[in-house]
Amino acid sequence: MERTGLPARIERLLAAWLAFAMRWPVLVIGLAVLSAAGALYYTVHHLRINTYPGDVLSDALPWRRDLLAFEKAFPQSRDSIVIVIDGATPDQARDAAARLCQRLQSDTQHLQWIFFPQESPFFRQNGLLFADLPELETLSARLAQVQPFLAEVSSDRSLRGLFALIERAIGQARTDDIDLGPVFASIAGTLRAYLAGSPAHLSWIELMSGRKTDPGDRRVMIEVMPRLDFDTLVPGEALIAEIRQAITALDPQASGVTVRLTGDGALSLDELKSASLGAQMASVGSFIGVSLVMLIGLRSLWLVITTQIALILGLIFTAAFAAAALGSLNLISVAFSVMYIGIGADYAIYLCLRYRELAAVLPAHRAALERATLHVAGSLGIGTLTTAIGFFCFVPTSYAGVAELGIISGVGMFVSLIVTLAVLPALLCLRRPVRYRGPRDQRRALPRFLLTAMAFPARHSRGVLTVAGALGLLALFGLHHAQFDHNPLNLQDPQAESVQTFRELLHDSGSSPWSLSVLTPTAEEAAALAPRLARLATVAQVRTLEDFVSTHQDEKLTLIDELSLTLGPDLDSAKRKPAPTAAEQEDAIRHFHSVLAAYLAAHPDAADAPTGRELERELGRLLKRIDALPPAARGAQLQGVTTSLLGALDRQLAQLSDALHARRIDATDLPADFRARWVSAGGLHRVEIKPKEDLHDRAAMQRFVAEVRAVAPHATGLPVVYIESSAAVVRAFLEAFGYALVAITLVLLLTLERKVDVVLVLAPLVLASLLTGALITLLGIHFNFANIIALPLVFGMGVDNCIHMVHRFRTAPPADGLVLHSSTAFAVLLSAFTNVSAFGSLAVSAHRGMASMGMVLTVGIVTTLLCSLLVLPSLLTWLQHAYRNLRRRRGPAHRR
Amino acid sequence: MRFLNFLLVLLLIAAGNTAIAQPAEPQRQSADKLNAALIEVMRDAKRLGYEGRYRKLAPVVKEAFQFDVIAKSVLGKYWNSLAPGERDAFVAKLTDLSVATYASQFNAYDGQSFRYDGIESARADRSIVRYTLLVPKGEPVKFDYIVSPDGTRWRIVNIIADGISDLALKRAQYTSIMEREGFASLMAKLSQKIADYAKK
Repeated sequence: MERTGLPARIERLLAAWLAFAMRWPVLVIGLAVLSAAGALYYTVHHLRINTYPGDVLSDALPWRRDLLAFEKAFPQSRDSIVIVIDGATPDQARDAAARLCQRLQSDTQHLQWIFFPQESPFFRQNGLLFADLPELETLSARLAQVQPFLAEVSSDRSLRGLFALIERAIGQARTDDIDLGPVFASIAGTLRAYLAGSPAHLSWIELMSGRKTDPGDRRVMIEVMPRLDFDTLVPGEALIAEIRQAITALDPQASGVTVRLTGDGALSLDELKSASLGAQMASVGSFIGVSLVMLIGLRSLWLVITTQIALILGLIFTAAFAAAALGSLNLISVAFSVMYIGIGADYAIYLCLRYRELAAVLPAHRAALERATLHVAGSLGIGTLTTAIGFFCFVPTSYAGVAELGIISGVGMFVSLIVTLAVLPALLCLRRPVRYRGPRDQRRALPRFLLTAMAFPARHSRGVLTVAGALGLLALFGLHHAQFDHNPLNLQDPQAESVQTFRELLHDSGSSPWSLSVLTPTAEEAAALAPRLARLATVAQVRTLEDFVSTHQDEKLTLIDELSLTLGPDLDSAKRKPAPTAAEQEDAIRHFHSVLAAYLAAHPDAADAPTGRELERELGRLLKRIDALPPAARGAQLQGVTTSLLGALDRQLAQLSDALHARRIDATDLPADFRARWVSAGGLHRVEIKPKEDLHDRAAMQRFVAEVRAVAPHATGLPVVYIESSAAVVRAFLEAFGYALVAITLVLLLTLERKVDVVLVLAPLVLASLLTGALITLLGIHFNFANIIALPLVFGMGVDNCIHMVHRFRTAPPADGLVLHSSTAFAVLLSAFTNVSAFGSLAVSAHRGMASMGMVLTVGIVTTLLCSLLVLPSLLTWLQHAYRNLRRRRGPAHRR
Repeated sequence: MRFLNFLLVLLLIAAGNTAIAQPAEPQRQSADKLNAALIEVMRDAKRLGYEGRYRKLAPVVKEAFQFDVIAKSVLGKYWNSLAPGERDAFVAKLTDLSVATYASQFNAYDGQSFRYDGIESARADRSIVRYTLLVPKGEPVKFDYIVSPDGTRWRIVNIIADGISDLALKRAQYTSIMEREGFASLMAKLSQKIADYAKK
């Protein structure tokens, strides 16, 4: 009988358990399923998922302390949802925003707060103080120009009022040479849009300010904070649903606006959606793929089913452990399931293949099962120990997310071992997996050409090793070019609304949501720091509370005062003429059409004649359309024209009239929710620094952060978090791999009989790691927060593969001495294919992080496979030759 | 006690009497005087002729309006660019123009009268005094005077006729001339206008 490599006591204990399990298989299975059901129940009720990405790092890091201090002082800075409203005109954007805001405010169940300062009484009233002096002068000059129109239309907000006032203006234009061109053009443009079915309204903001607005003016942003519960997988989902409903009620298309959601809250929801969709696709794909691969490899449906059952049982127990020990998973430790499926499936495959191999040559399949289990127990035991220790090495790193992943996966390895050795045999013994083929069966598991191919490493061991060594050296240099992509947006589905909107905001330096903040104890210090930061080349804007206490208030108030005097008291007049009937409206259009025609005929060369003719033409088209309608249907048409010409007037007049009540302000007058973003409850002042460049560019983010921190070392904010946490992650992983390598070496030294085997296990492993890193870099994939998780899995599998191969070679070498011809080699191959089929499907996921994780896993598994099936056997052969040569040289004297 | 009560009642009566006896709120004074003068020249329009109306109205208009304030508002940012001498010249021209405008437009009497409608307070301790010019054979015209305290008196700083602000109209015209042609041209145009009124 072959050796198992197990200590005698453990071997006796395991044999006794196997005897029991095979005698009472149904009892064992029943107990296992029952306890799994219990564990599942417990897990579902106790395991929470913490989705806040920042929380996966240790709080002891200095930049984390800065961040925590900032978040404590300004808790509103985190996880809000930003509603981005773009309108056909600024009027429509603001109107939609105000309506949305009003509706959302009533939702106290899901909404914690809503931040929309433009609509607050303070900013409505004092908004003009925040314009700069020349702007305000231009505006008041313009308003003086349009005052006669406003006065008229304010008391008669209908087509009748509008056209009457332009008629009057035309009369006046002749004596006072007023250029009506812009007014004609605006109205003509709106009518043309209306007739073409566009929802764009006449912009009274443009008309009043006299300037064309840019896209920035047509965009309004509202920030909302959901009542958050980080324990739910999808924070803010209810509020987002509520917002979407409100948006639908707004009828964005008819209102001429597009409303999109972004901000951290919406981003994480979209991320969870696309990630879970990716995971679901991967699950389905991997289930089919894994089953197929196993079916081909194990050639027994029974073995496939039992393997899958063992896998599910083990996953449930591991999750239950996570629930009991940690209570929650974070975005990184949730990947334990990937580790478990990757490595846990291997254990079952090793056992099943060895069992198949033995059952073919042993008459009693139960005896074959016992021998197979005892034999794989040796290598699985060492494998579990080393892999688990490898995972436990993540615990001391500063990356709490990785540390937790290490704990769960490490324990998961033991769970996998126990399930494979204790429960799987009970399932397997129920049926014989293959026909008995007699004791001399040397039937190949594979066709002859493959077997010949598999002899390659043994035959050309020197060549393989030379090439491997050279590649390893190259890879070592190539690794220097490996890069870590710290931008979490790159992990997300680039098609997601929140991602696209966010990138748009990033692109526009005025609205970049990625800014940095510095806390200062006093306003004076903030004021002293601000100009030093503003001078930096990468900084677009620096703001403190003081910037919202407008300067030159005396001059501005004088201007506003004059403006108020000029515009008179009845701007937003409550006294209205009675609303006109449809017939009156129609008459008003017809009458104006003829007045305009007469004016144009009399003054064909006037400056405003070209736009006047344009307006005449559009009016003509409008009248034609009205004429084509039956009288009963004309009311609706006229209502439509009224809305597109005058729909935005009410709000704008109200706004203007509020703005004329501006008064002298200081910092204490600002609304509380606004102030709270600049001064904390504890009196800390915030200096906000906006970047000039688009921080979606990695190098730009690094430049910005480096420059700002050179001036203000404690500056914090998402850019710092991303750069520092990626540095922390890289450091954590390097440390973890360092510790793991040392620990695994020690474990191997203690457990392996021949100390030279330690080199046999580690050399291919190190080579595989180097090659994986280099290949990933060569393929142009950057390491990131998601795909870096694949590395421990690849590493763990590599350890296991090499241990199994060496163990098999030492304890039960195949008859021809070629380890590649053993079931173990086949198991290595099969488990690699299983994993590629399980995780390769991630590579096509819309979630970029998942996709890159799939790529890294695939590359890693392939290089690991090559190293354990090509380099390791070559190394074994070469060592054997070297050993034999050594013995021969020392001569027969040494032989006993 | 009885004596005290008696005194109190007397005082109250006295206070009531003085309130009734007051001709009008102080804010109204300038506007009332101007309105009265306007009606007066209209009644006597034919006899007085343009020159006569001008002479009669000039002191009243000068007294009623705060032309320095109006001039500054009308020119907006251009006011600051004028030399002190230019400013004085402009104020004088504006005054002249206003008198000329009244003299030329209030040139016939058709039974018109001003009806006082009330007072409201406005921004920056100003008040609005509202009137309606009743025209027996035509549409009434709303006249809102914005008055501002000037020392001990209240004087007019803007007139809003049927919603249309005189300041706004003037400002729109004058600043556009200033922008295109400059101060000299503005003064020339105003002189021309005054001359035109005189010819009518």
